[in-house]
Amino acid sequence: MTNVATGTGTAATGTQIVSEDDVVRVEDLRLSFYTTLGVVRALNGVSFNIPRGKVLGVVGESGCGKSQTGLSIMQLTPGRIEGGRILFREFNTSEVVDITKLEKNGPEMRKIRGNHISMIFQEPMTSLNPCYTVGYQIEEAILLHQTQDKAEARRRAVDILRKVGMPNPERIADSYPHQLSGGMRQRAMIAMALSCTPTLLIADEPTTALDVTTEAQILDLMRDLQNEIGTSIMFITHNMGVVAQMCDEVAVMYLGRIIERAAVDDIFYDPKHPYTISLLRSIPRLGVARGQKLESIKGTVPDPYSTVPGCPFHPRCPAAIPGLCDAVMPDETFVAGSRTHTVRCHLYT
Amino acid sequence: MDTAKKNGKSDEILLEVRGLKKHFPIQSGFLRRVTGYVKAVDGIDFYIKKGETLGLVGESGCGKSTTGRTILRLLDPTAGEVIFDDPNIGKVDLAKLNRSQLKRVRPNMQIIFQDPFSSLNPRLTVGQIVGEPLEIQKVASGQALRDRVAELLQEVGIRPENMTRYPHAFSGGQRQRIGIARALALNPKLIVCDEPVSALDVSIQAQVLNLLEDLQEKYDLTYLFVAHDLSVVEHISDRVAVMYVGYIVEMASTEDLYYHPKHPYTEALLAAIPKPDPRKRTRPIKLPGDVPSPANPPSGCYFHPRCRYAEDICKVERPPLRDIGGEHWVACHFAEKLQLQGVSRLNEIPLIELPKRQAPVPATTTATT
Amino acid sequence: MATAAGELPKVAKGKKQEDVGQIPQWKLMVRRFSQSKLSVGALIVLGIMYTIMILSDFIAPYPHDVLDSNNAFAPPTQIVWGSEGPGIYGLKQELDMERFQWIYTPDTSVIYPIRFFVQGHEYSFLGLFPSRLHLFGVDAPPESNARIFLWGADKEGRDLFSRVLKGSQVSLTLGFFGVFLFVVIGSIVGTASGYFGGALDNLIQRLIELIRSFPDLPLYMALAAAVPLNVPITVRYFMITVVIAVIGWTGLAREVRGKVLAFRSADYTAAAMAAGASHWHIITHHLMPNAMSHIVVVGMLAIPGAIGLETALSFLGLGILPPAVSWGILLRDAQTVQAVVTYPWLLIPVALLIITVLAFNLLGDGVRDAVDPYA
Repeated sequence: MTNVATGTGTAATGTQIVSEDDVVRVEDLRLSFYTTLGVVRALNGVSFNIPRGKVLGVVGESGCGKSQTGLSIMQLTPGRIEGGRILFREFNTSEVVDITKLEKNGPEMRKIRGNHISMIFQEPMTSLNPCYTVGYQIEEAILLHQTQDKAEARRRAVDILRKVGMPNPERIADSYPHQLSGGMRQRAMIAMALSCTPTLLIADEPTTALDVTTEAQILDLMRDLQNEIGTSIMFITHNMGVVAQMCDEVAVMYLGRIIERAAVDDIFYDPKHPYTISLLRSIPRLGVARGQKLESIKGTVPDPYSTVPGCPFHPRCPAAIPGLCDAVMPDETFVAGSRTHTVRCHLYT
Repeated sequence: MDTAKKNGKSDEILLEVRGLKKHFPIQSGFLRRVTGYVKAVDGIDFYIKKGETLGLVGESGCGKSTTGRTILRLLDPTAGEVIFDDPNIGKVDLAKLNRSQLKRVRPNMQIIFQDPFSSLNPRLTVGQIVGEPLEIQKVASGQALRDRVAELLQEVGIRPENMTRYPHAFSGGQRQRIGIARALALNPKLIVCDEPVSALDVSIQAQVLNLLEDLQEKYDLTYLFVAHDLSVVEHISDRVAVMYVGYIVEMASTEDLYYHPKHPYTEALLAAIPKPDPRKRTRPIKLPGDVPSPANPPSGCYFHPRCRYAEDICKVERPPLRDIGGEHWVACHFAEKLQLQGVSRLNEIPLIELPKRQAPVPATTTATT
Repeated sequence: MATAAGELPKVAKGKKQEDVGQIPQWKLMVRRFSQSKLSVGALIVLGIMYTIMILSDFIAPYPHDVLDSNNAFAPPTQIVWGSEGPGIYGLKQELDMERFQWIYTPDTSVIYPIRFFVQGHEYSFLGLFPSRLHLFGVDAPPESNARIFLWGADKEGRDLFSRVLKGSQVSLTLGFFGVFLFVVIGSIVGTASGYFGGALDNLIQRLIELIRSFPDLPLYMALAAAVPLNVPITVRYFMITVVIAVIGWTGLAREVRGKVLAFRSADYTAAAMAAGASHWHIITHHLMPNAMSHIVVVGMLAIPGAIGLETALSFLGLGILPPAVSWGILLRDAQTVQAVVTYPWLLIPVALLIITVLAFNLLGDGVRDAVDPYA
């Protein structure tokens, strides 16, 4: 499907495929849910790479498949992966594994999960166990993957809690999750996720449930830690403001496909796909055109059980070309004059 | 100072709130003895002028939603006055009305909710939902009721044929429209919009915001717009009030409040907005500690433990909300002295025009239909 | 991912050309229910049982209370094929002096034919009009001792089949009505408690706690023992129903209160309040319709317990009393191991009781899943 010039060869010799600069390369990922009401094609050929030490933002509206992409990399999706590869390279090694080939709960996957790839969620209580203290849970993770020495693990746990900006890390380590405020819990979860200095951190809407001041602090913290540790982050969000503040590169998703991929500056200052453009025009901007109408995208996202022929965005696209967009799925192509900006739209072919 | 941005704005006050308090008792023990109070709304004053939109912002738990519901008497206030200028009766203190008196005023003040799923009764059809206020107030029945419901649905962009369908058949944005139609049914003057777009997707948010603005213009509505998204509030409001732990700390025109804030909390709030411009990355103002619990607020100014400008007086004396000139109300001892940073305008990002339609490109892509 | 069935007008729905949006919630529930084969099976089984119960006087060949010492502990009758279709033999009764048991040997000389739609003893059909018509009977002279015992006879020579049918009139209905009564009480009390709150709520909750703090069985026994013995059967039936309801309502009231609290704070209720709705309007339009499905589920799942309770009380001699008959009373005959070993057919009421309770449980589960798929 994809013919991006970086060479998506079908060769099974995985080592060459993931360039040194990438930690993860997802190729033509397909994911389906089989429900009583029908089949939901959640991902229809998603391909992207996550560069080393960079923050990749994945944006889109609800139902676009952004969360499922993250869960697929962790092999935590309840859906069925029906095709494609997820190539992952551990930090500082040349070994590349295809995550889709690993057993869901096998030893290799468990080793990757938590140790090499961590995930944080919108609701911290989903990953914090209410029965154990925060410190104990971080120690657990450290003992499991890093050191056998309990005192050392404790020291590291307190360390990492201090690093995520906890005011009194020793006391926090002995607290139970329910004793912490929402922002504190989010910090604790980030601490847990970073305790093993993972190669990749998948952050699924980590600040959506937080208040704006807390959100800003958490984003600030994540950016600092990212600079310090050098972890790559896949940052899943629907908030364009957060994307602009947080990410280096952006992939815009719509209905289970990436429709545009570029550096963050290009996405905001030179967007190409009509969906990206419309999305940016529909968010209110401080100090701009107050009291005037926002531009909105007509219609709604189609229901998940139906399939749209051609480009999935064409029923809502103001620039759709009759006879083409409603019949042929556009390929992913480079924007003229760029080596990093790709778009999936007939306007640019 | 730009105040009037739309037509039909006047200086007449539609709603004035004085010293409004709403305390929820904390009960414990077998006999549920009251052991304390959550001071959700703790003595607030504000006013809304006819035809304007007053944005009410603040973080979760600050009491902004409680304020909206207490004004509408969905909750009974603990103390204070809510003076509403009813078009038929004249000025009345809503806080003092009994049930039957309230019923006469209610058509003039309605509410739109945040959650498009819990705001529509799943057992009723869309027609029944939108027609319910008309039935309750015995405004219309039979065919007249159906006609009015059809008209209302049309008004919010839902096809009237959908009257016989149930809410589960609609998307979040459409449900929100249905909720708006219900609020419009009785031709209200004031609508409390309680986070009306925060549960919606970005592209749907814009649709609903536009709808609200259209309706305001058409029906000369006055909005109390309760929200936590500061960008949305900036877009839609004429004036904005900021709440912190049950107290209004600043109230001014949108322009003044966003670009010339006078309260340190407002400054911190504005700095925290994630701005959709990658060339304007900001570092937030560090706010030590957490938002205090409204059951046990600190002494003096509630913001003083987290305020970087706090001085001794802030620990003991709670500053009143006062007008420092030009309808800029601030509750800070040092409002005149502080030089605070407003938000920066995001006018550098170009508004990209949509690309022109092109003729189909036949050559390169071999169409496989 | 796939949350609600969103609406997109342009893309046609795949299979059925029906508008899901037009279907009320309860119909969707029925649809979900019908997808559970086990529950539908249970519903069919119960349907058959209740149909038979209604027609029990017509189906039963003999009165449930006529003693016949010539047939004490007679085993299930063997059906043979004679010249006039199915028929039976007469029985010869002997006493095995060694083991002190009745021994029955069939007299194979004459086949007494089984006839359908025969005239027999008089009964009142559905309590409406007297009738003598029965589904089947044996065409035999009274002195022949040829009687049809499909499920054998008890120690007084009464036909167990007829007794089980008669007993079902009590056992299948008393628990049902008991639950119905407590559902009504529980719903009203629970709604009042949850909706009005305050002191009323406090009072009701404390009362419920008080009632629930009594140990169940002794309380039931005490209440049942307080029911006077020398009252007509219908009065006693009604009183036992009340006994079952007296404690049962508390759990339901709590459940309903919780639901009502949730629905009361729902935004649609707030919208109705904002329009000036009366308490009655809110309760009938928003609280009851939403709580109803939960009430039905709780009631459904309570029926098997109530049926078991009636059986237990009757078994202990505290419920329905002889000469009236219920399954609990029939079980008293199967108390001893000796009886069970020698006359295994006495266990048939147990089997029926198990089937009934199981079927109600399956039905309740199915209804619960249909009403609230995420519970």
